[in-house]
Amino acid sequence: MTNAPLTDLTVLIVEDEPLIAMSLEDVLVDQGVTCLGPAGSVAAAFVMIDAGGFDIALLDVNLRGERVDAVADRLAAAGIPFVFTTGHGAEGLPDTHRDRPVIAKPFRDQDIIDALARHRPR
Amino acid sequence: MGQILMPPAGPKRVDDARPELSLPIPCRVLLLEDNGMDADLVREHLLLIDDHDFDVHRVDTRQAFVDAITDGGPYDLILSDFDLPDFDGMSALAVARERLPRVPFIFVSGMLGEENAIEALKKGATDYVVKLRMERLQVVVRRALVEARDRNELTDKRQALAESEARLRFALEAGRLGSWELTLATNRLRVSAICAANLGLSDPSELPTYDALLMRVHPDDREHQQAAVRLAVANGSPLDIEYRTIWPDGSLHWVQVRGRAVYDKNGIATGLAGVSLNVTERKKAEDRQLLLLEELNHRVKNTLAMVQSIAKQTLRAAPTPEAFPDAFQSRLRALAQAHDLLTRRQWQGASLSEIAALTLEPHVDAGRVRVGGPPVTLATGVAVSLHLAFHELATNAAKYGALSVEHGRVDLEWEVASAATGDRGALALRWRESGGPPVVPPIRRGFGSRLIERGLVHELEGEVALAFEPAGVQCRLVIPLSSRVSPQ
Repeated sequence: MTNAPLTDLTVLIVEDEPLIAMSLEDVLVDQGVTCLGPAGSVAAAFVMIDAGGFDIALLDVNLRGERVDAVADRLAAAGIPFVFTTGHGAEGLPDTHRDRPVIAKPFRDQDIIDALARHRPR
Repeated sequence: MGQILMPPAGPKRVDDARPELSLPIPCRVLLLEDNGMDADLVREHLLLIDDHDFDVHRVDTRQAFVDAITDGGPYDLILSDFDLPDFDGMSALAVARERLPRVPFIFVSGMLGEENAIEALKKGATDYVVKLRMERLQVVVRRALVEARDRNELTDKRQALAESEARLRFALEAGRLGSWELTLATNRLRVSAICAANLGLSDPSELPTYDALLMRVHPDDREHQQAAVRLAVANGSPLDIEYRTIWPDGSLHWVQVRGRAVYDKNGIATGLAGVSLNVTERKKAEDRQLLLLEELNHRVKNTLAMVQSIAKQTLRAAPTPEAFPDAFQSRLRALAQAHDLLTRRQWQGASLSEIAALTLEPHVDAGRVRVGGPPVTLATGVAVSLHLAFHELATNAAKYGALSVEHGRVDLEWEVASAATGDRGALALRWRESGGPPVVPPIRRGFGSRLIERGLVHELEGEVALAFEPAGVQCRLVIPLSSRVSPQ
């Protein structure tokens, strides 16, 4: 477990299920993280990515039936790290982003904290 | 296939078939003879054939002959005079050949010129005997009977084989099974019409060789197909493979092939034969099932994550540990109710009034809650979120608000503002409590407030105003119309 403080971090949450988004916020806010979002659709995610102002993103692989490949592409192009959250397993990931970190749903709070600590920009 | 199994070569003797010391073979004879003395002469000669027991039925007119033939006997032999007062032998022969083609027909005549004899044999007579050399009758009759028996036996076998093949063809066609046969030495392939049709071809001759077949197999499946064929030939294991095929119209289909190697008498594999079946529909069904399973897995995981989230947030907001179980279980039940309703609607969404009724039905029945508004269809995610929100409002009302006292009431009403220029229209929904005890705003926002104020806004991309007015809780939602929230 890594418990380095995340207090200086701003995270974009891309998640279409409000309950899960709220739960993620709880975890992050408890760690002193600043949360942006949640973005519940591909279009909403684009708007927030273009506005910027965050260090790393938590990215659900499917938003209201729409795959998030394009969102992942845009984050990658902007050089912003991201962590997938998925109930699908690794097969559901966009083909070009299979080497990205993944957190399986349902997740442990510590998994989220560890992943952000490990993959945040240095 | 197509090989007819012949009985062992060489003439077969009637005696072979008979057990030793057995009774003479019964033999019914139709004799066309107008002269009684000649008829007796024929009978006497037949008696000399000792291994047969002849039963002679004599007729002497055209009508009697035709009747006997029509009746059919059954006769084993027809003997006929050539010249009769009202009939002639060639006409009798024609009648017999038409009606009883299997029964040998022998002319027994006083005079029969060479030309007549040749003509008679051409027309199907078995043989002829002139009355001056009646002693030949024994030999001629015996030979005719033996040959007829052999011939008829062969005909019966051929017919049985043809019927068996027809039954097989029928079964193959009924089962939409194609049949095929490969000769290893020549690589030649013979396929049935269905087998060709399974590869999208109308003519079996378009698949003359194994290589021609292989060209029809999807390139990615060719190696697998060839390896399976090699294995079946090499060790005699049954061939059972499925491969994709690309039809001439470019469409993709699945074929299942089963077969087995064919060996010569030395045990050397000479070919391969079997059946083929178009399994495209089954493959599609399997794909659909796989997709459904993946979708189910996704939904289960998602639901577990929602339950986890409800548990954590309920725990967070619970004033005491004792308050947790009831609050948690009540929320779980609300989630389950929403799933039940969506399952009844095949997960195609639900109507707003159904969702409202789900939570509020008991209170509506008691006249405490009024629900009303035009028809609105909600997508599944919206339906679940709204249901959970109504559940929070109703639970709060029952504990602290209008539904906690006898005369309190709740109005849940909505209206649809239709689309205007630059505006896609919106659903405006209002929850209004009245007649309850004076409302004291909560010191901190609980799970319900948060779900409504944060969760619903997020899910619906709309506006939410939740107000703890002293006269009663009010909640107003304005949700832009979309494919997820649409007037019916």
